[in-house]
Amino acid sequence: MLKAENIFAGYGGSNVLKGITIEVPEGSCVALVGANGAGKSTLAKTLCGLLIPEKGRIVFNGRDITGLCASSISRKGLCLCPEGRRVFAPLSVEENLLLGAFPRLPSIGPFRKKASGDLEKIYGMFPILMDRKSQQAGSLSGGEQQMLAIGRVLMAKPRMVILDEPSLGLAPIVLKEVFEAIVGLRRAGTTILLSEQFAKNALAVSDRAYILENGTVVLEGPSSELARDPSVIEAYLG
Amino acid sequence: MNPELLAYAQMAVSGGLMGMAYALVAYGFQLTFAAGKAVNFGQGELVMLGAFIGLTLTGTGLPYWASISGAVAAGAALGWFVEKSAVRLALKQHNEGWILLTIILGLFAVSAAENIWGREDLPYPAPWDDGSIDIFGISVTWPELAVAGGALGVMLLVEIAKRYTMTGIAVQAVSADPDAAELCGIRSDAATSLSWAVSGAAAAFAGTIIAPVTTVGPTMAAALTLKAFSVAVVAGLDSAIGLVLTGIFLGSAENLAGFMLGSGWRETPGLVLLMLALALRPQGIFGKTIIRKV
Amino acid sequence: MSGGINLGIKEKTAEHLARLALFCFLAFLPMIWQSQYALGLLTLMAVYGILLIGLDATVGYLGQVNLAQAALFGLGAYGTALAIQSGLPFSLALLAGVMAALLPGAALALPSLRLDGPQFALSTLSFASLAVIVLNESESITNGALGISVPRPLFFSMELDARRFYWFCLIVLSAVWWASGLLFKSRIGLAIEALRDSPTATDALGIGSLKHKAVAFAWGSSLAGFAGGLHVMNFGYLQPSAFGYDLMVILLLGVVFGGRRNQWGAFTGAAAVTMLPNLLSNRMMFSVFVTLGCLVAFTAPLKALLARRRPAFSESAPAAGMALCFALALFVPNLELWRKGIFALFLFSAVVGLPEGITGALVSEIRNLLRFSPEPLPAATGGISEPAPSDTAPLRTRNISKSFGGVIAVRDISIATEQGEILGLIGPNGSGKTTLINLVTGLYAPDEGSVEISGRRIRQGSLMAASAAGASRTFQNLQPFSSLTALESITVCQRKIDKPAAMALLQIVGLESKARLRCSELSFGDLRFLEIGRALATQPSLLLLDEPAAGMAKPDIARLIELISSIRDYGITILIIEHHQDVITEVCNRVAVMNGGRLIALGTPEEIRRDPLVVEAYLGGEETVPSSGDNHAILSC
Repeated sequence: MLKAENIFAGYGGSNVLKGITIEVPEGSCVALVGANGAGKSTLAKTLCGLLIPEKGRIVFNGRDITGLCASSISRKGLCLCPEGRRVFAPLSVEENLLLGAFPRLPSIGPFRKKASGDLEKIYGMFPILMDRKSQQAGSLSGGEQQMLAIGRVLMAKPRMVILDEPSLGLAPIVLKEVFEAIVGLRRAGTTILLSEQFAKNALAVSDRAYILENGTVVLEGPSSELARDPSVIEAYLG
Repeated sequence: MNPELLAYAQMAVSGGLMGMAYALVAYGFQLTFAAGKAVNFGQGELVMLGAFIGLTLTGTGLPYWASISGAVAAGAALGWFVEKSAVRLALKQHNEGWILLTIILGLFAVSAAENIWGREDLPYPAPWDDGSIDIFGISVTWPELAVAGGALGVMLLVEIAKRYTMTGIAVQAVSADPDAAELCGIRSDAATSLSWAVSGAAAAFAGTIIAPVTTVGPTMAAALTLKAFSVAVVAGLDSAIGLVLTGIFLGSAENLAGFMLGSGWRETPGLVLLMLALALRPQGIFGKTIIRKV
Repeated sequence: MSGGINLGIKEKTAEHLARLALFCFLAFLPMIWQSQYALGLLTLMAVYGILLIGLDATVGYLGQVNLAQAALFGLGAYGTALAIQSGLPFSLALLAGVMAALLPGAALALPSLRLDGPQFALSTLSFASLAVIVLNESESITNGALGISVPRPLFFSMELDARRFYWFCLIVLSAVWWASGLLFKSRIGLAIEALRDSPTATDALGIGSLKHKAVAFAWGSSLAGFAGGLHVMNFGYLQPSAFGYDLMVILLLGVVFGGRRNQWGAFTGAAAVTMLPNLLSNRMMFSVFVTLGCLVAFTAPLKALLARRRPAFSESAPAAGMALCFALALFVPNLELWRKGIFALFLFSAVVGLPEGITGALVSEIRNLLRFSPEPLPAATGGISEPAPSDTAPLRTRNISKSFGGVIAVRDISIATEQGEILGLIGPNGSGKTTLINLVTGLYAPDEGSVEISGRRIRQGSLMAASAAGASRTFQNLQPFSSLTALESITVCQRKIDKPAAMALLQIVGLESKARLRCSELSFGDLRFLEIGRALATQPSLLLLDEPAAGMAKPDIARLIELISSIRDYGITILIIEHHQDVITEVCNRVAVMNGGRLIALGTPEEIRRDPLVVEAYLGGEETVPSSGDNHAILSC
């Protein structure tokens, strides 16, 4: 489904990613694991077009998407749920969700009606969002904002989702809910690329994983094997 | 009522009505600032061009509403052009060049207007009669009412569009977080351009409703930009209602200043207010504070 | 630096010679070009030169759009004129002009200096409009719109004719040029450039951004007043409307067109601005000039087209501007009527196409063609200075908390360091480590609790106070002073310039061979080391390093570890946030672990590694992953 070959990317001339190659097969859940600053978020941003790679090629669904802008990539069905949630704080929860479906909603007219079915599905998945649907997104707690961010991505009916650090800054109890949602997504057959600092959690929910260090892939393989590999823990804690 | 007091009240009311026009121009600043943290230092020139274009279209025999629509469309195109030519690149480079560039485009607009329409102030015909209505002894002319009504109407219209259309919500999303909006499939650049076009249209419309009261001339721009800035800064860049209140206040204040101190001092309340607001509360009375990040 | 003809002299010497030649030429010009009109123009050029050198202080060095210079010029002119009317002698009249600009300038500056960008531009613009209104309306003093005429006073009982007055202006210009050059090469000047690039770092390193902004603005305003005084002595007649919006735009044209941050640029701009009106009245010359402009402007887009790529906006826009000028030159019968439009087009093309101005472009050409001997570097002596030993903890926080919009970033943290220890601060992303450092260094004011550095309680939210107490920091997102060299970046942070010591610091952080390079030319890793050097230059007792190894290559990290240990050996206490575990284990005496804004563990690196709470915080707990079997309503794709 997604294939990135030999990606070099970074900010202001210095490359954070130094030749990364990854592949995400259709219907699978692949994890990107690594310490902070290993390049997980940079890779996520590069894949979805927020960052243009210096070198390398990204193919999604058989089409070369290297250098396309983020909105075009999103419209092709590769959607990023960004690090730090990035909900639209001044807008209401429901507006946030509607924005997820922006490309297929009419710009003027009965857009709410057209999206109501999809909204209901999201509300079914995250009942808390239903309760807060007219509240400002900025006033939600961190966990609720993460649910909203995931819900917003799902509203786009993506072919593949990249989840970047969904656990960032969340309390352990909230974390559980977030990972439940990820497991649910996976069971529904959505292709997922999960970038995660908490190695254990990420390895538990994914089929395959790539261990990143200093902008390169140092280890890859089936998650169950990597979870048992002592060198992963070692690489992780240094 | 005491005749002297009545004269003051008369001044305050007609000033306040004109102040709505300042609020409308300032509203244009709000729109573009929300979209990309930039404003057009040549906004007054767009007002002036809008008025001139409206005047020319009326001169060709078009009905009043059609000439105004023409002016508004031209204003939208000009606003769009300003963003494309002066603001976009400079903002991406994170420097202050855009301030200079918008001033420069405004200067060119003045020069072009001087040469196309002449340097004289021209009257602007309006379809309303010149009569006025009397409210408690204060007379209010129809063109003045049109200014207030038109300004409020346009602001209301845009606010409704912002809240109740998908495009409007998307534009708000872009101003909250352009990258996250891109991830939702919204083209941030297009949304920013749209904001500038609407801002330009509002300025041009302001021109067509002010002109019947003030006449049209290439110099009408300079003072107007500063007054609109004054309103925008005092009110802060978040609240539309704040703009209307500040606009009314400033309009009355400058009319009273002109009445009491002499016509040369008319502009001072706006300038003093602007400097005070910047000095004491740069984010505006109705604005929010900003957090520094490293 | 390769190629080019080697002149065998220093660049500074060459510049001095060129300047000397320029002033000799200017001084002799009236001998060959004998006309009153020409003399008037040359004098105006000298006056504008002074004015623009002043404007360059804010628009160039400070990097702020200052729209008040024309008004300050006017105030200076009126100050001098009124002083002459009341019978003051030559020198006092000029002084009155300086004061007339400086005092209102200061009144404007004090509130405005807290602002930047559009807000600064606005406050100066409204000041300018207000000044013109006041000049116009105070009829009893200024005679209003009718204007006033004054004779030129005697210069110490000597009558200055037009030519002598021109020479006098030239002397003043050269003095101002020299003084400005000196000012902007001094520590104050370096600080002004530093604050343009990063006001936060300037404050955090104790250099102080506000006072240096004030100096730049005051210098610019004084020169405006001085130039105003000379202007009224030159013309003998004043009118408020002459100092309005039009003049301001012309002045901006001068500075931008000539080239910012350079006295040559200001002078070139002054010459261009003086000659431009005459250019418009001479159709032939104007056509030649515009054709030349077109040729220059069209080179870049044509080159791009030849290379088969779409010209960038900065290449095509100036060409469009000049083409429009060309069209005006062809079709407009009276160019004077399009004066503003033509200025606007020139200015537009210059701002977009020549961001460094004419002199900027020329200087880089000259540097390609000629090679100069480099300035000798000072020999390194001294180095890291040891803080005075004391009994109090270098850093103590008491129950500090901070939240942003409902999200609590730091909660109730009390921590104390011992002198000469390295305390590591670790924790997952978003656990509040950088916020803690920002609280300690005064970038944020805590919602609750207090911070003490070396026993001194820090005034809330003041970077300068934290720096004065001995705290110094580096930044996770680099805050380089891009326009300074590596050496200058260090010297600007010193309490008193000490180049040998600065060289020694560069040596310690391993950058002595790059001392002359500008920060904009340094690599990411070099800049990280330079930030440490900068922080050391403030002679701190407490050093806060925010992810110094982020983005560094392996060998650099080894060097960093060595550097950090050697800094500790001088008795400097270090608080370090770091994700590279090897840095933490090798250098830290103690490690503090944060999670969710709380301090969850504090101990030796060994203890921390074995702490189950910490392991869980990093790896994620077992129980957070749901077991299979839950059923959720899921969107299908």
